[in-house]
Amino acid sequence: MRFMLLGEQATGKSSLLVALYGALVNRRAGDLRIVRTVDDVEFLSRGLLAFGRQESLRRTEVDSNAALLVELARGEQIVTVDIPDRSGELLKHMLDTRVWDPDLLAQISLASGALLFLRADELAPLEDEETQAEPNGHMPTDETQPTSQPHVAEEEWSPALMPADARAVDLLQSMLGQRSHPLPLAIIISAWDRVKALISPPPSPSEWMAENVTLLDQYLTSNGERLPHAVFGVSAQGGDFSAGLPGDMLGEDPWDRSFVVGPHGERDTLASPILWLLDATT
Amino acid sequence: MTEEPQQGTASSHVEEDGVAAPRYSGMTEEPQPGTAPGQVEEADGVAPPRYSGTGEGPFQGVAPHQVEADARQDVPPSQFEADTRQDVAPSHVAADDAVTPLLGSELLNPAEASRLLSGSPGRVVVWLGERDSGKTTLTARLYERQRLPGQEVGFAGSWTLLAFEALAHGRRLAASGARSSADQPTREGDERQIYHLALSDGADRMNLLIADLPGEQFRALADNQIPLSSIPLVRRADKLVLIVDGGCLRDPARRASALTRTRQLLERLAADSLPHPGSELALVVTKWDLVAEDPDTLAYWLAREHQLADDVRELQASAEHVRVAAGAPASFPQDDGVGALRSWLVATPGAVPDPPVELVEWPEDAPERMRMPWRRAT
Repeated sequence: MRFMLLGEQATGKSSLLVALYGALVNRRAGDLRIVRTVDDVEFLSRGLLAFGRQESLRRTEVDSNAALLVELARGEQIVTVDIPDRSGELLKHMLDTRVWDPDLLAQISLASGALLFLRADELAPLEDEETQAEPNGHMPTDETQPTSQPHVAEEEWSPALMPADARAVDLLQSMLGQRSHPLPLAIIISAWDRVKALISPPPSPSEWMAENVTLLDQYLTSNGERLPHAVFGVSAQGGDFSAGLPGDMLGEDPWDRSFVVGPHGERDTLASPILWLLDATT
Repeated sequence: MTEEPQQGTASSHVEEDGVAAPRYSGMTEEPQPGTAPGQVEEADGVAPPRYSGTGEGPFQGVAPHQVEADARQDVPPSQFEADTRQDVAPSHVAADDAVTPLLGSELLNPAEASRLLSGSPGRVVVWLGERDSGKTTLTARLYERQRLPGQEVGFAGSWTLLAFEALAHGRRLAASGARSSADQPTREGDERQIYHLALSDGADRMNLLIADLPGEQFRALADNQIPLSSIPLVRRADKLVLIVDGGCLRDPARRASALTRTRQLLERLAADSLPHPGSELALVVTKWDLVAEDPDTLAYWLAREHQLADDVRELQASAEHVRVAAGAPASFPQDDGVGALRSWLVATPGAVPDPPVELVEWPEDAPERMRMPWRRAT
């Protein structure tokens, strides 16, 4: 099965792939286990090395053509999962210039599902002045700085100025226009550790999206038949490396620091979005 | 260029990073949207049109049941739009099948709006108001309202998402004190004047097709320089909204004229036996915050409001009356009325046949300034 990674720059796509690979290799993925690694995983190994050093992924460590291609066992079931990483810049360029990226266009009808990445601290103002001053300090910055925030100071409008939720709706509408059958969609809210740290009690990812990403939430709800979906909060790093991890995390391995919060607030393994997609496609 | 701000704005991106030039006039250049690559390709690589339309719009004179409407009830706007485009400009498709434009870049023209109505329930909304009376703000606010949590109806999509976002950007600029280049009036001669906003209450989807017609048309209509028949969208409207500009009410020199314009429009509607059965009328006072905060203006309006509302109800007894402060600052203490207006717009008074939306055709005897040259995206 092929699952598309959809997200603009610095939304945590590569970080999730690295953390997921670490969880799979190190038996932290619940029922899912690797049977066979099909493709080169050097960039994932390098990513795990960076996480072990408590360093975010840097742009130079990310191969935009990389993929996680593995055979996984889930009980008696063996399934091949292919998750190609895609450059967030390419997606941004596509939305800005209004021309389909041929590769993504070709994938749409073939994909079994997709993971759509959004950044928690980009979509909602999380009150933390220190982080505001260092926008790159926290997140698993796969690539460059986020650019999908609306830039009110600019005078002439262009698609690049659309807020992230409108851009996500724009992308999904366009995708549905190219696909005749439902597209299961795992919504990944990355930097979930920030939400957890700053909102008490932390909302469930579904509640958070309904409150903070209203346009996308309404769109998904209204189109649930064609876009069956579930919302996950993900912290691929487990915390903010630049601010320093909490003391109780310092001795933990990367795959034990990273976590996923399920749609209703339950803590789960890094594999849970993939498990949900596998269930949604069968 | 508020109404079509996205057009032509991407010219600087040509050939960037090896990607072919973007063209925001995608409504007429979609090669095969809605079709999985390789699924329905013909020998020339272009999916065949599904409809056998004639004239300006493929559905002109074609009953909705003849155009596969049943299969489209649950098709989201993007899919529907994709189908639409196949008919619009197949020659363009054949001319350039190397790139596939994304959807949603332009306002709809009447033919595209008609196709949408043929397959999915919708309401054609026409604001009847002069230039700067708040029509564009109403349109923008209906979209922006969906960004607030806890809405009774949910955002279900938009064929004109980018146009709405451009409007919203203009409002953000205005709120920040910057000058907005995206707040210009609609221009005559451009048939792309229709915004699309799909809303859902969880069970049913309702497409609002909001015509942002030039205010100059209504001035000419009020002055009896053009007949109502020259604005087919008015005759086609499911929801006719008579706008009283609250900003004018605040100006002693213009307030009487604002009332006169409204009554002139009422007379024109009555002379043409409008609104038709099945269409609804509302009196909307825009910029209500400007009225409410000024005692003199408020007193002036309150002394005349009931009489004007009664005049409207002479035309249609069930006519709605709403005060809207769509552009009010957050500090405005009253309800902004947008929710009430939206509820009225999506309400279904009964079975509505959804006939096609016709093109605007300026009469030959219309003043020259009204008949500006055709304008297309560059």
